[in-house]
Amino acid sequence: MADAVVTPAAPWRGYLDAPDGRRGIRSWIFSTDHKRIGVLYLWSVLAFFAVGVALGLLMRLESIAPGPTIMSARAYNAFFTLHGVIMIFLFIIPAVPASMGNFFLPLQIGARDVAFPRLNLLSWWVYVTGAVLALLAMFAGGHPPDTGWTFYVPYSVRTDTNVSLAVLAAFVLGFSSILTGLNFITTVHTMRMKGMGWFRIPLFTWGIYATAWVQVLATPIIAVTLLLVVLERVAHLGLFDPVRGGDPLLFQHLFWIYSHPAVYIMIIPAMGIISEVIPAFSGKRIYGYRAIVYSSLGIAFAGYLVWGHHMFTSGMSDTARWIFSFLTFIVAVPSGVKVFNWVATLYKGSIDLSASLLYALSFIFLFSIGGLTGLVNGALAVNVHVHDTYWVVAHFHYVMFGGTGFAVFAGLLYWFPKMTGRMVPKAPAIVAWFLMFAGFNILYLPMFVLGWMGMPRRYYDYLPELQPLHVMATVGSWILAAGLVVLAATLLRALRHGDPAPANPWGARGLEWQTPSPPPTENFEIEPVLGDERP
Amino acid sequence: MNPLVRILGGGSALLVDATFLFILGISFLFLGIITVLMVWFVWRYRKSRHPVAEEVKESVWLEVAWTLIPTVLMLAMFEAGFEGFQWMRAVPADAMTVTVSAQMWKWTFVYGNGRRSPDLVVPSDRPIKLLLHSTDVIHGFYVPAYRIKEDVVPGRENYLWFQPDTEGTFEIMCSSYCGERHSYMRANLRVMPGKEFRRWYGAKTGKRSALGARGIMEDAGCLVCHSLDGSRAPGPTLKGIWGRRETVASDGVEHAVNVDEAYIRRAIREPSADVVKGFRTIMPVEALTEEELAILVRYLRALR
Repeated sequence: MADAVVTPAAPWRGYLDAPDGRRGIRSWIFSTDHKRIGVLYLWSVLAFFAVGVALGLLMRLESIAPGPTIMSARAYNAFFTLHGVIMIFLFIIPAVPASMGNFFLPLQIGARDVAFPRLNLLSWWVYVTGAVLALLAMFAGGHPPDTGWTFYVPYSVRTDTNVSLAVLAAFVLGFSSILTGLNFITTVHTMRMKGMGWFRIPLFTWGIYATAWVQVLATPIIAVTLLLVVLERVAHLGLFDPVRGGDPLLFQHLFWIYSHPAVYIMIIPAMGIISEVIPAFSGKRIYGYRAIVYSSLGIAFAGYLVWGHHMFTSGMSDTARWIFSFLTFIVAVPSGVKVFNWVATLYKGSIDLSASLLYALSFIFLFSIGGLTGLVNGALAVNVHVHDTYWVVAHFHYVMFGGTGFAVFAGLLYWFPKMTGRMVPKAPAIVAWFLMFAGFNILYLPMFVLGWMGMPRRYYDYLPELQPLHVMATVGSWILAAGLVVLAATLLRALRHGDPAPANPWGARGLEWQTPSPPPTENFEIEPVLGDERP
Repeated sequence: MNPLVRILGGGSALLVDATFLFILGISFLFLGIITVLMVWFVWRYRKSRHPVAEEVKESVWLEVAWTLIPTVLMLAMFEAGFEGFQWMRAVPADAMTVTVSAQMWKWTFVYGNGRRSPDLVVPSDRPIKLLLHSTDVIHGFYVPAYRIKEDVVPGRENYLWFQPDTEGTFEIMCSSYCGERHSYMRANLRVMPGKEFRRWYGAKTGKRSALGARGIMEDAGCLVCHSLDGSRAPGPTLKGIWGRRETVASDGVEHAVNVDEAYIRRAIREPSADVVKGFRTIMPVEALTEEELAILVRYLRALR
């Protein structure tokens, strides 16, 4: 036999092979490659998402019947506090910018990395430090915090639970967010490839860029506020506690001056994902590119001016209440403009109904419900009734989970081939979508009704006549969880066994699709070509 | 002016519901348009039927239309909410004032003649103004049946008013998270005919000491946190307290005490002086007369 010795070419692994041949965990946690840091962040935020989901499922189980079911009132109060802290500070704020933003922003503008790669790595380490502090607050002696994620004074100053530690965790996590934002602003300003003017920047990058400004400008306010809460607890400063001459409303103003813009940190990048996925699977350009860019900037700016709508029943002056109500209605307009442009993009397209697109279309539906029910909250007279009830819980889960959550899954499925070099099988991903979409609505729709019937939020126990709707919500939470498990299993399996992905499996336009899947460490082997059309 | 509100007029519940339905109607319309178009486009232009996408020329007029029309609708919704809100904040001159006192985790209603009540009792023929006071943390005064709510913030006096119209008993709840027993911080709103109310209002309330030990503890709020049957609660159970050996912290220093009369009196007069291990410093000071104290001591001595 005259066998020629054939050395099979090793499969292309791109950046997944570290350039210096290092392997193992150290090649990830000390890497300054924006793609590796993006993947690190992705694993981190998804891990905390799983923890937050588990806490949420247990809370739902507790509420399946009135009276004590599986936990004590103190435990329940700790559960909703940790669910909120984890979902907001450890999952949803970094979810899109720090993971997919990190990975794709430089690729989309044809850059080799972000402007400050080492600062980028530092931001992940700061995130991990904050996460460890949050875990310590949960498990290290004493009682886990029981204030709600909003840390309202004077309760947060008086409770003997681990509030200081939890607040410190949020403080540290804020710095990670600031570093990421700073990096992205500089990168977009200085590292765009030749010929990419401002109105040639892909919409996902625009979203991350607008968000970055909010991160840099708003986060320091929460940092200072949280530090003042610690000082209030330790040194009895008397800023917020009326017993010492402080004002509880001052805390609420400072808290929401950050935490409302933070809502836009959570949603604008998600909208960016939708603005990529919809044209990609419609086989055409986005409708109303400039309108979408301006609406992102408009939301990011106007988002600073509406924090008072969290305080409509706080005792704030009536003048402040109507001004904030007015501005709240104004900020709703640019979100509507985006929705109309996305729907218009589908018109006369050639639509490939992929799993990713199903999640994106679900985003439009669920986010619309979240946004429209937000108008109910924004109207002063009605707010009085629904404030602090399950109506509000349903509203923000439709925006944050139905919106950002579903966009994260749309983005994951869209970019999975690029990030891993593997395709995700379509059928199980669609099964997961169906379970999640059905479960989500069965879980959260009844909450609107509960809230309207007068069920306040953060209630361990409730009136027996409300039980049927609670049972429905709990059953929905199981269906939703089943969908999440199917999706996780599908993605984990595809990581190893998925078919190898071509450079551009969807025929999409962004520069990230001009380089192999997964991209090489230096991002592009040959200079990408910027088409002569806008995205 | 919002015609909906004007036509329906009436109490806060009608006002809120009318505004709600107005906004909900517009919302359903928009959600319907978006959803139908989305599903129809996905069906009509699916790849198998429409293999080649067509670029559609963008229309500035379309962008202007779907910016301006929603803006006008937003202003209408704002106006509806604002009109209703103004009505809800303008207290009629003939309103009867009741002071609401909130503490973890109990409501007390104090009337003009000094009468105190655990339930809010009101006549159906007069508007009611509520002055909201908190002695500890933020609470929320909420009556779903009347669609009224306002936070009860320590250090400031918020207010609410409503026009009782239907006689009956309604739920009062705490809407702003206030700790362990937040969801149990409830009371009743009892709306009764004017005549009946005036009888209730004028009735002589005897001295609290006449209520007996249980009545005193009920009224002073002791039983919100202390059980009499040994069950777990935010405070130590009172069952078998007499002669019990407890580890307490006084100014952070732990030591053991035997519960006797002196200890019980001190624990009531200065609740934060000695805090039983495993419990929190949250007990408020309740002014009890010497007579009431004596009754309680006698009762607790016998509570096995």
